[in-house]
Amino acid sequence: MSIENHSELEMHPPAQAVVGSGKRPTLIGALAFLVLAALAYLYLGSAAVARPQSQAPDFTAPSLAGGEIRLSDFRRQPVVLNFWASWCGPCRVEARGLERVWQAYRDRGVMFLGVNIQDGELGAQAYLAEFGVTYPNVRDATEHIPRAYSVNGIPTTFFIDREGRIAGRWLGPLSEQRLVAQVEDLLQ
Amino acid sequence: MELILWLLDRLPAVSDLLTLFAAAWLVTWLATRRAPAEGLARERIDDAAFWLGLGALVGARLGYILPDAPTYLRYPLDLVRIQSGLSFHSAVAGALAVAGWFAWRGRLPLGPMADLFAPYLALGIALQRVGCLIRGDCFGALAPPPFGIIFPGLSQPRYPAELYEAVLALGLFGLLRLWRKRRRFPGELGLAFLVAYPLLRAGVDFFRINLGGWPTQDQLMSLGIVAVAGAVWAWRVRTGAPLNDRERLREVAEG
Repeated sequence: MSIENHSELEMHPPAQAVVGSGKRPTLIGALAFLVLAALAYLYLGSAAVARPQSQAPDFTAPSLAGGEIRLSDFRRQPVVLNFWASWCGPCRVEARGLERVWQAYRDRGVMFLGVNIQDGELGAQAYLAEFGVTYPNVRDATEHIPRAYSVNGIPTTFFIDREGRIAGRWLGPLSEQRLVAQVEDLLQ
Repeated sequence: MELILWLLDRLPAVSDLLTLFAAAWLVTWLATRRAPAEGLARERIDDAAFWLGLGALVGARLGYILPDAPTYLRYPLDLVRIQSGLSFHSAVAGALAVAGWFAWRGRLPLGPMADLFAPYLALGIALQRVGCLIRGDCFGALAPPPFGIIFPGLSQPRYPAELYEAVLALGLFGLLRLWRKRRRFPGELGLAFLVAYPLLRAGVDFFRINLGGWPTQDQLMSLGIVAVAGAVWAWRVRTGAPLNDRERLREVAEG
């Protein structure tokens, strides 16, 4: 005889065993229902998503690597525009993922551009070195760019399509999966 | 109203943590209820569940942060930053370390304890995976047209990889639950979990987004766990120690 049969017979009155076994299927049923409901939500809800489609404001700003960068230089190229600062904790959460995805997709024509705001140049440079960031970054000491993009908090990331329209925007740290999915949509 | 908006804004970020705690509570509750039937004292399981959960959580976090240790040393507050992640494989190591310590101190036998928790862990994992739906990024790799889902905010169909894992983990719970009556030695369910779950996890990895080549680092570590647990399993079946000893289980229950 198995362990379970011995112990259940000895330690539980039959009534308790019946109650216990009756509740478990309810629990599994509830969980299965949750999974199915979630799937249904995903299938049905996917059509009703509004996405920003306005033209991305153009700008020219000093690059942290020297020289100047103009956003419209990347027209006909999808652009991932990421606002960050070296003192911003959630920016650190996404920093390595941004670099990894940039490395994986740079050859497919996407451009990543960082916009450093509310920060000192030394701090920004140290941040780029610490996370091994290789995509171009500009520094906006004037705060004109975040104002033009209505950035309320960092990190904020904009996804700009080949026609220079804002195809999507994400507030808060980006997971690597979400970033890849957005980039693959831009490259579609 | 401001507070509600603030909370709603942060819901996706904390949903992982909320579902993790809900899953931990569910596993503890079910295990504590079931403990006497496994010949284990309820209050000891309640106590053990807390330390096992803590061991898994600390292990999971350490496994995630260790590769970037210098950054975390520079910004120690990032250690508790909830937006960043946890690692499954080091969670297993953390829980096993605590379970080993419990067994070594003679407070709880390893085998029956593993058997007690194994099915509920699979159930807890299924629940935790559903948490990714609230966060809204369950999506995996690009899927060919008949498969996949177009997720909110995206335009191309993708495999709902995390949901696959939730469904498979739910199936594993059912299997382990059925197997409970047929196990040949205490600990077999625990070993079965350590073989089956990493295997299904490695399988689901084929539907996830992967920036590197195959096999992924996650798949390799999963296969490592499968190999070790499988070897122990085979050895235990071969040595065939009569471990379903009723008297010993009763002794443990009586403490």
